[in-house]
Amino acid sequence: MTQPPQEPPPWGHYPPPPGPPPQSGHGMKIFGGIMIGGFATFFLPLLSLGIIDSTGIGFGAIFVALLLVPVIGIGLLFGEPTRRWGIGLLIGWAIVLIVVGGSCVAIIASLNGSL
Amino acid sequence: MLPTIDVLGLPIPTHALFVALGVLAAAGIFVVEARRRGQTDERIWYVVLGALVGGAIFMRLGPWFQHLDLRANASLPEQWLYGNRSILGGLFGAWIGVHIAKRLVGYETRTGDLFAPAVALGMAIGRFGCFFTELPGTPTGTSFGIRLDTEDAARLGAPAGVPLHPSFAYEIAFQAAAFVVIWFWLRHRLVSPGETLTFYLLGYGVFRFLVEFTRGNEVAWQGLTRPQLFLLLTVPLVLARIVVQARKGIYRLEPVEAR
Repeated sequence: MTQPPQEPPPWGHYPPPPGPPPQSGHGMKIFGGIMIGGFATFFLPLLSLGIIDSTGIGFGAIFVALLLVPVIGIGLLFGEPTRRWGIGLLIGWAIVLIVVGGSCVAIIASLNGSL
Repeated sequence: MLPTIDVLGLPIPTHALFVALGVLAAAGIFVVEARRRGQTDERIWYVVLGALVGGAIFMRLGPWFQHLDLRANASLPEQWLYGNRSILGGLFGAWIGVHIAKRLVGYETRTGDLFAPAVALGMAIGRFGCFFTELPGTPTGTSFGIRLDTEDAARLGAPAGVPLHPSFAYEIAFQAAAFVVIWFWLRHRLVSPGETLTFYLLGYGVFRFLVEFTRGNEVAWQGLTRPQLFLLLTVPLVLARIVVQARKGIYRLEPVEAR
């Protein structure tokens, strides 16, 4: 037994059009940002110590190194395509500050005589 | 004392290692609980970011205010690089950071239930770093006190050969117990969004106030340490919130079968 063809629904009763496909890879961008932000936050101050040693630029280089990651991360938050990288960078920066706080202090204190 | 641990032949700072393990465990617990509660909105990343940045900043700068005469305090750069680190400052900063982030991104769902078990487990693990590297506590007559050798005693400014309270072990036990209670009981039964963290903070505040008597931190006023003075101001606020919420009938426990 065949079914009669269905009438099209009246105007205004069509189902809403499908939205844009869900964007994937956000988690990977954030994770990548965390890794880069973490490594940069850990190693940039150490590199800056080397610069101080060789050029005598001064103690401020450590602060520039410490602030570089958060400044870039905040900047990335303002663009939609780069926002997840920015979130990741800032999360990585904060985690390293929490984790290696004591170690960094020990390193800097031990090198204090050379500053 | 165990300032470094050999991992694959590399000497890793013990304190940093255990804090890192604590952060990892906390992140895992947070993700599991967020998925269980269906809080997978992308804006949750901003909330996590607010907690971590607020916690990292206040953990370092929180102990800056040590003297009423502000000139007697260290400069902010000195405090950032050389100053003490404070768990209480970190928790306070994380709380502020979460509220700022939620306001900025318009995230209105309560998140305290996600943070409470994560913080408890993270602290239980992270405090092992303190246990192995910091001044254990004040002298005690008990048999389980920790005795420092002369080298560690000189480094930490404590008497050698005298049993000292293992104050960080007390805190590890408290945090582990808090995690077990939250994870295996409270999170399944408390029907009031976000309030798990309120109860955890009240419990930790009271515990920390008491354990400070065995910690050996500098006495600042009337026999109380700075963390105790901070807690004298903040614990009553948390308690007042619980009383107000209770009077509104917010707190209800449901049997686990109902969830």
